[in-house]
Amino acid sequence: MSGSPPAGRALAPAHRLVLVVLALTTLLALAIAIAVSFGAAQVPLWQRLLGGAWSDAQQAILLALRLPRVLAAAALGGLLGVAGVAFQALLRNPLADPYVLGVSGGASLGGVVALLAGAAGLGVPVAAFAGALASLIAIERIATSGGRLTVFTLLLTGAIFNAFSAALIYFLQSVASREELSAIVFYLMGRVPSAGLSTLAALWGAGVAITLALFASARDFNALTAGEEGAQQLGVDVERLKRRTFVLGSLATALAVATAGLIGFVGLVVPHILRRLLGPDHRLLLPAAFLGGASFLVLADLAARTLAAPTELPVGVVTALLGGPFFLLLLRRSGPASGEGAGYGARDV
Amino acid sequence: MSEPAPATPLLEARDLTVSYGAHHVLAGVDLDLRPGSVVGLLGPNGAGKSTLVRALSGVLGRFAGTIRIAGKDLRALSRREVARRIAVVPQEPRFEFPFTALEVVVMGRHPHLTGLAFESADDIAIARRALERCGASHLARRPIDQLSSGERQRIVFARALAQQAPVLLLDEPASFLDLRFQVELFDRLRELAEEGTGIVAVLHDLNLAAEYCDRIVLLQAGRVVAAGPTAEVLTYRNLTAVYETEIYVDLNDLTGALVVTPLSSRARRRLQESPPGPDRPPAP
Amino acid sequence: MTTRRPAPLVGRFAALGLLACWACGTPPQPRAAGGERIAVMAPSAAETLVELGVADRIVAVGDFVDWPPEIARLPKIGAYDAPNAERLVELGVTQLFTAASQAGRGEHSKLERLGIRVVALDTSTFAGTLASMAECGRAVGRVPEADALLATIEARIQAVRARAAAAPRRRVLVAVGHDPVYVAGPGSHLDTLVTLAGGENVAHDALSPYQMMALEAVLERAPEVIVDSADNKPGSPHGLAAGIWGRWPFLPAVAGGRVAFVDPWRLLVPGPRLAEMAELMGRLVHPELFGEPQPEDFAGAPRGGGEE
Repeated sequence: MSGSPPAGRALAPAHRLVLVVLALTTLLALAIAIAVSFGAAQVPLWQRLLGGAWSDAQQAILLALRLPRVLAAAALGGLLGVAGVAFQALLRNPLADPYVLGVSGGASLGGVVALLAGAAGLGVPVAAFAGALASLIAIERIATSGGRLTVFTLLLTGAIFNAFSAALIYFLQSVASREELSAIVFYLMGRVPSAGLSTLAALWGAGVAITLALFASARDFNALTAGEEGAQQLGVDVERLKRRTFVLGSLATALAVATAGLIGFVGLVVPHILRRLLGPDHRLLLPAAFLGGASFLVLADLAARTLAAPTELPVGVVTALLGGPFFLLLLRRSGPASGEGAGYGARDV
Repeated sequence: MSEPAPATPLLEARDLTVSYGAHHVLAGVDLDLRPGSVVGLLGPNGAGKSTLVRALSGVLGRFAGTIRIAGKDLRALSRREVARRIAVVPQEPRFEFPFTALEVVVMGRHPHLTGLAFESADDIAIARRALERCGASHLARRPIDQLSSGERQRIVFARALAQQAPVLLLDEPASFLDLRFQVELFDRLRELAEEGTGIVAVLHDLNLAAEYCDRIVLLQAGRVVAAGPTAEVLTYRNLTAVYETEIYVDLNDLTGALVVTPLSSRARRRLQESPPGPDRPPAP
Repeated sequence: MTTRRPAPLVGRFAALGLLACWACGTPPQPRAAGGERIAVMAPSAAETLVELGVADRIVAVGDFVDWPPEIARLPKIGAYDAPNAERLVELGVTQLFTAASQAGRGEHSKLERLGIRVVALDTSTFAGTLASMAECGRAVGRVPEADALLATIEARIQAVRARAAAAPRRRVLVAVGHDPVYVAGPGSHLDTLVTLAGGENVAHDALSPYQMMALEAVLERAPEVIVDSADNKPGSPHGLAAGIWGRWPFLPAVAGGRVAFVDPWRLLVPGPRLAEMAELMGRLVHPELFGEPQPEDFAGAPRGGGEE
């Protein structure tokens, strides 16, 4: 036994999971605390908590605008992070992000149509979610043949759906009036709303539920490292796993896009960063991606709200500017070895 | 050509046919695997050996005929139940994610774990013992994508061992191994057979097959040309017909093992001076 | 380009026939003022030209020109930077009045080469609007009329400025969009109107004339007057009412009943109505000096004519 060289990683027993969850939860709590303290307006939060006085305006800013928005950012980041891990496992491709499978196209199309039809408030997210569901069902049907869900066909169908939705959206943009146009562009660029209580409950509830549901398949995802047939030979019901993952990941994506438009990069970069830090074990990755994605988007949204005050940057711009260089840094540090293992690809066997 | 089996075979295929459209990859294949038996699957490329292994392990979607595991129909079993009974060592192991060698071997315990269970200390101990048995303990913490193909092959073999299944299916398990590790691997297999495991191995190396297998199934173009004890199947007539080149079978006086030699053109000329008998050409 | 002409095909032939006659009859270069055929893209320039009395020369308008009613029904030839060159030539247009823009320059030189004189105007700023009116006068040979118009407008604006000069600056928010809140910042004519009416734009540090502003910032800056010209959909509220701003009752504008929903037509198109706009802004910001705003101050264009 042993005599093992220091390189490499020890096993991931249950207590390592607990450690990771605790650490990331603390990080999230910290991120939320910081995010709530800053914004386009100056609100002396901590003075108040230590017994100072608040104006009505400050109270409204904090409780009606900032806190709901920060909590929404957390839930959205979690949904996107977890969807990213799910799709990267399903497609066995590190370049997968939650939008690649076409559900986001349907969601944004639904949202744009609702905007043009004059829907306000809850109408837009509901229409977007409906669009997402329609795409999900259509794509799943198309990519299933003989009872088997082919990953390659899934990718292609998703790409086509996205292209088609984008074309329709461009068309709608070309015939929209000037006011409608800016509303559409702003919606598509991605913006975290100051969500109402019911929306927050839905986002958080779904986020936690979907993470737990995916976590139940975490060991199966690990087994997928042996390929689809290899995983079957280890006892994994791969067809059921693929379908389940696609549905859960798409639901998470649909919720995120319906609520906040297309916020990019979170679902691509957060799983990667975590995989480099924690290794490929999905039992760690899934909860970590939820908590890590949440922290990431909370901080990105903080930057979006404060860097250009009193105006705001689109949060998608910030996620790209933050996520990109950080990821490149991580790549250079740990070198090309791990992460580009043998056989990355969407080969379907 | 199977003899009547005294007990329920570990693995049994009857009239197995696998086709893609009109093309038959396997046609009417019968196979019996009894505990303690090492069965060699031989045949030229395209004979359907890998397909047979895949069918037996339950990953082929459609096939005609019956496959029974310990008497139970394969189609009636869940994936997990099949995986508890059959472990597979693939020909070219693939690893999509950079797990460490030990993590990969521990995955062999997957069929025995249920729900959200993390592997127990027992599971990890079993995995470590499997690694040790394969002489790969020193590789435990190395990421799998940094290992050589030979090392990876030993890891997947260890994974199959960790699965602790009564049936072991191997698809060319020694293709990348040094001679030393080939011998070690097959010695392990014989040990496992003595412990009661049933083994089916796809082999290209006829001499390895001759040495380690007690039964041979010889395939050509999807059909079983011959099946039975090694000495009965590995004959000049059978091998030459199936491999479409002259193959000389002899007995090694020292070890008592069959020696299989494909004849080069030079060797054929030498032998023409003394024409061969039906099964065993006389020593030159 | 749907119009009330009896049969579109006949109309096209008629236009082509006219074009043929005109092409045969008139040399392409020097244009006598009387024979001009005008296309006007910018709504503010359209209003100016009608004020100057040359409505009869206008043969085509941009997609967003809906006012005054005399020209609202004319053929539409495109939006902003992209007037349909074919249609312009077909209609025998000799002068094109449009908003100056970088993007349009290429288009403009092409039109010049086709024999159409392009008059590019700055219609986004306050000062630019006044200068544009003078330039329109020169372009159509109505200089005395333009001067008179400008003199009246400037006098009324000066009156507003003088009356509000000594009054305390009130914090004003001019909102041109909801969710997110879009505000009028420095460089827009609305910003100038606010200042001369005795107000202080809460969006004074915005980086562009029209920009999105975080709601937090709006709340923090506690505007005392809110002028909301965001919606022009039928059924949008008009008048002094809290409306959606009632969600924040602590805002001085809401508490003091000084939230005004004004149809965009009233304030958003700078042009000959600048004086009316200044007086309206005075009533909104300092009603104690200029009088309370009346119901017609909030409504859209009279006789259902369009908005921007």
